[in-house]
Amino acid sequence: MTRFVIALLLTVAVEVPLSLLVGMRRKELITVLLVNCLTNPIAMLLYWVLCARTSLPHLLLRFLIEATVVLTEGWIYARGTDRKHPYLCSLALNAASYGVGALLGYWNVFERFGG
Amino acid sequence: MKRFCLILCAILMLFASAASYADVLIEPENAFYRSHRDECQHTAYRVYVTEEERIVYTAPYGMKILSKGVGTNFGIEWLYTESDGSVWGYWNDWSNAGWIEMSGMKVVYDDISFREEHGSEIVPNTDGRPFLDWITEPSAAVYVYPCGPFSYQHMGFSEEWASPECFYTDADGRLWGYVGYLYGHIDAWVCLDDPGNETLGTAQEKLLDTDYQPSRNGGFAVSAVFWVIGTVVLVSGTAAVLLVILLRRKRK
Repeated sequence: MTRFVIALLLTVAVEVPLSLLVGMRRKELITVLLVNCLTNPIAMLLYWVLCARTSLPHLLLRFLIEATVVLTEGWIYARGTDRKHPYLCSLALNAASYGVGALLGYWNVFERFGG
Repeated sequence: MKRFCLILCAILMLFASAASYADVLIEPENAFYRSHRDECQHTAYRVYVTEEERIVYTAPYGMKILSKGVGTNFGIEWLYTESDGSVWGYWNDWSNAGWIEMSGMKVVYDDISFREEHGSEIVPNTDGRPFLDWITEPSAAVYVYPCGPFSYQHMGFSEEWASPECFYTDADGRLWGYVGYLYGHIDAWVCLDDPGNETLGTAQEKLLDTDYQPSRNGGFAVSAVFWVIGTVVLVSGTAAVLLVILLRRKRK
């Protein structure tokens, strides 16, 4: 459970400020926040269940789930923001949050916090 | 010919390195194990008995392979702890293999249990006296622990059993000698005062209660899963509703 909460907080902490850098307006930040609250817990749950229930390689699972998240968020940004390239925007934000998460995972930060 | 031998050696080494590390530790040939190797824990080999029907899965919470009835023995030495706290053991009887949940399993009394109970009465073989000081016949009866179940009659007895690692004297004054590993068998006890006798031990296996984890009785695993799913539904559901409202407003 702790890991779910950390993952969501981390994603929001990375993607919301970063969305300003990719040109989102301040009033669009709420959309970014809600999109993350929608996709991140579901993605985490899916990954958790599929890891336990299937023998698929973890890297493949991560790729498939992340790709679905990027497409879903891009679709919502296309309708909820004025971005010209919503899917590219979604890809950039997710790549950044995934990268930070991977780095923290590499340094065992989650284990230290009991996640 | 030399090249063929070299290639054969290389192939054999590849197989050996893929399935084991150290000298004798055999790793499970299992897809789940391969993808969770670092999270699986190797423990001392012990035999567990199920007192209810037990399902063998491809992976923890994976697909069912087969089910085993009451009284089935499972030899386990690899464990995996799921994120919900449930402990799973990898079982392999060479015809079937898979993962079983360990909750509610009872461990068969074995050498480890015996040492926990009689550790203070076991003395090391400080003089290094060899088995041959006691055993003159070409075979000896091997037991799981002193006065425990008879394991097998070890034939072709010779100097290969250099010397017992330790001794134990039972209630009837008989001296027992122990070796940790003997031609594929672990934890071998021989009654040094009556080496060929197969009837010194109990016929019935003793069972010990183990309480590996609280998932089955305490309902921890189920409640944890419901908590996670419930929270995900709540957070994601709320976000979805708010997003729909936002998108509708934007359209207007």
